[in-house]
Amino acid sequence: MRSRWQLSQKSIKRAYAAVSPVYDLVFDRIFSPGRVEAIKLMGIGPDDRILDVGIGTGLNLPLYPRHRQLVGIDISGKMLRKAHERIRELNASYVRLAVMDAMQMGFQDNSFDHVLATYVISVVPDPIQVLQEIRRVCRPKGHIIIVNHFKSEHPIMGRIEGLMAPLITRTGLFKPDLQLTPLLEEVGLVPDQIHRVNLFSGWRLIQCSNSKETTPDRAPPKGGTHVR
Amino acid sequence: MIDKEFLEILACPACKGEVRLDEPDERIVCQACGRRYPVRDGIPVMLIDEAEGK
Repeated sequence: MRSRWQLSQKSIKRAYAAVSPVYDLVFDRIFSPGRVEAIKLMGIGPDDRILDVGIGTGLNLPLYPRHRQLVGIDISGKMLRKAHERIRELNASYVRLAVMDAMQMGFQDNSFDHVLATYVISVVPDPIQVLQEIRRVCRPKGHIIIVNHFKSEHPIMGRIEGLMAPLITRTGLFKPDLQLTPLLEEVGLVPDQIHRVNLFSGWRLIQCSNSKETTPDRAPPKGGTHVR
Repeated sequence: MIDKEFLEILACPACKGEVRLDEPDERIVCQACGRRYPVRDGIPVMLIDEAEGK
């Protein structure tokens, strides 16, 4: 069941090393509408904790309201060093960074009010495990926001994409044919909102409320921890 | 920067135990399983493969 959603870690690393010189240019211009919309939709409150999964070089950083408890993670220490530079330029030293594998995060349960994953789900070896980890670290009823490319539900477009998918997957950049509904069902997420974003077809912004059993004893203390 | 608030939400990626900062060594240490995670350029590296111990 899972194998069709998997990309190998090796091919991902190789592909991103190859595109890294133009990564910011492409990802900043073409994919910025999705980022802007996502952060707008989060409705971040003044004391909310936010996790940005796969923050990379920090392209999302200027889009967040300032002085929030924002944590960014990425598997690439090299990308995070660029994010660190951006934090310095933006004078946003309240942002915390950590190198982490999104499939095995180093956070306590229920640590965040909002978890955002822009363009991450289709570039990880196991998207289901990432979504399960996102659910674990997001508090009950917290917001989970995913921006990603999903296979078209239009019958003809879906078939064309299906034919092209093996070629794109072979580049190691991302899997273009993730199916939104079965993926969300597999991890028990029900979308509250789905929006179309970006220039090309297939890009979706999904907002879910994290419905899960409360385990208050593991939640870290909140309030009075706000850093300005 | 690794301050108290950040340490409170960090956990060992392997066992999800609570962690503390070992300042002289610049390591994040799991209080449950003892794994020690490096800190590079002030950024904690919470990867199981990079941990010492266990």
